[in-house]
Amino acid sequence: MVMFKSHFLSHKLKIYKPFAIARIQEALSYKARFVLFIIARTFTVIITYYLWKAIYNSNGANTLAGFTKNEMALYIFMSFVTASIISVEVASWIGTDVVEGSIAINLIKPINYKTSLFFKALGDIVYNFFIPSIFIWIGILINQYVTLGELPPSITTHLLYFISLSFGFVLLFLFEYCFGMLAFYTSYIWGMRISKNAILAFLSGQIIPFTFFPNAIRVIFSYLPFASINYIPVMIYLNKVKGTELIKALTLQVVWIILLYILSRILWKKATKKLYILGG
Amino acid sequence: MVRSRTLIKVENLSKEFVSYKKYPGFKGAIKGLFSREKVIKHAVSNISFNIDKGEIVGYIGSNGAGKSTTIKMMSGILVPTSGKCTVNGNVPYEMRQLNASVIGAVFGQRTQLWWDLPLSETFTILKEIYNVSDTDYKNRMEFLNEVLGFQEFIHNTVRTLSLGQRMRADLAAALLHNPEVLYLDEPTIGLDIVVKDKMRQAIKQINKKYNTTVILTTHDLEDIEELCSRIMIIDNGKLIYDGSIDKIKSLYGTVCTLSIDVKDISPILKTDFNKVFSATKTNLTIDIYESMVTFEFNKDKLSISQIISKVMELTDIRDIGIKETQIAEIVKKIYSGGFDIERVR
Repeated sequence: MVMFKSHFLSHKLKIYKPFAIARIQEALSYKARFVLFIIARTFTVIITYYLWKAIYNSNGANTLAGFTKNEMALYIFMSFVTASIISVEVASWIGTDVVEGSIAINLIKPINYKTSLFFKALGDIVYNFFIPSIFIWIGILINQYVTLGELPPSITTHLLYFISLSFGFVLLFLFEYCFGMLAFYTSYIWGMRISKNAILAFLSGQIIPFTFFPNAIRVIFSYLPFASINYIPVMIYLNKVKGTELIKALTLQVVWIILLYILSRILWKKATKKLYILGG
Repeated sequence: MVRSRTLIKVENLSKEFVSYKKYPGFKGAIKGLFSREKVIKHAVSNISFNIDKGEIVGYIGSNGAGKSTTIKMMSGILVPTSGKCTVNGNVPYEMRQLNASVIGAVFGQRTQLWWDLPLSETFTILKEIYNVSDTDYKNRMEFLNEVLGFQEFIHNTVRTLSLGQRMRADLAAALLHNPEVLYLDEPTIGLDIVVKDKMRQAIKQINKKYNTTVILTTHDLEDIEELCSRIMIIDNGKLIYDGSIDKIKSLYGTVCTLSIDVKDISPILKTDFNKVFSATKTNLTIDIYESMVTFEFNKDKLSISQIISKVMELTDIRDIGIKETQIAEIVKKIYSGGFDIERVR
């Protein structure tokens, strides 16, 4: 039984692995686009950093909402690293597939569309991890050691961060996938995507840590699925979520994954019934 | 001849598309936000047919007649509004993945090749997706390369291929897993004569070698004449003809054109042929240009020899040309409503 299962899995992997690899190859063949994208993103994070620096300086306080100045800097940059690693534009892939009608090509193959997208996203993650995330990360670690004399977080923290990051990725994938299903109804989701990204950045705590919000809002925000995408992994990395809190946070991520997974299946069933192929 | 088994069954298949009315202009856009007037388009209405294993069927109709919609329902992409369709015993839109493993498709306007990768990569990926064994893969690649000739550009990135190269590769990609059914949606669109011919030869040979059932939609009626023994004509979502090419020719192809080059045109000019043969204008029209006289007539009412002998009575004949109706002309007349469809039924 185990043998059968592992054989089954290895076959699946063989089928879908090319989707991930193709994605990396594509990324490598459009280098300029990716470099520009990275530069734009890096600018944003640097601006955010200086903005917070100004806030701390003008306030005179060393700690704001439980964050020291250095923790805040770490939060901003790790938030950026996290978001860069797991940033996948699954919704826009679906949008393009539907608008250009190439979804038809996907549907005549004996493959699962969602799984193929998932592997494409995995390909992106591998690419994102090396360009640019790992370098920024190393930069953060060096900076911490040189200017503050701080050692990197423990291996356990790293391990927990990676577990939480993986959950965050699956969640973001499912959310993007569900969002992408809208394309079947509106056939054009570019505009909505822009607002989605803005809301996502805000609700996932990428811009402002939740601790800055009033208590009620903080609680609501931290229970929403978006917190699981960015806020939880980063807070784990900063060692600000510990003990039962940690178990609660990871459980919350899993619960949201299950719920979004169910939703994605329902939406797919409905969407494919609605489908009509644009452009003949 | 032993009747082969039915592979595709289509029963009362219909597909409606619901869209919302769009109003023109900015005012209209605002109006569209508040009122949603449904527009129902019957893309395919109530069509039924059976296709046997190994048949090559030409599926023709004007733009927007519903050809592609039918194919998309048969390939499991679209769910019909009503009716039923089975391919190889499976309902394609209910068991999409299972059905996908026994079909191959080429949609002329899209590609299934991996755009940013070398062509060879697409083939290896497809080998994994369809779980093709190494020996089968090797044999089929050899055979497909023989008929389609893609070896010379197999290491090129797909986006750098010319349309002709891409279409050949696309056809090969659709056949790598040796499908039971091959759907070809305008496979020769935009191709030059040489590539067109290559595509046709390939389709023929594959049908012969593997007994693959082929359903072909096209606007190029040469494709049909060269490949298909059976055609189905769809118009406005309704199947208006299903039968052999010969039958449609005998039904509609009664118009014959006879051009005669004569030595002396004056006796011809003086003769009223309609009166001579007591034929109405619909059964006989005459066109005279210099020394050339052209008769367009109904074969049921007049015979070629009748006309020739009459002309010979009047003058000497230098040359004769006879043209039977081409399938293209028949189809053109059907599209423009020039034929009484009910006659076929």
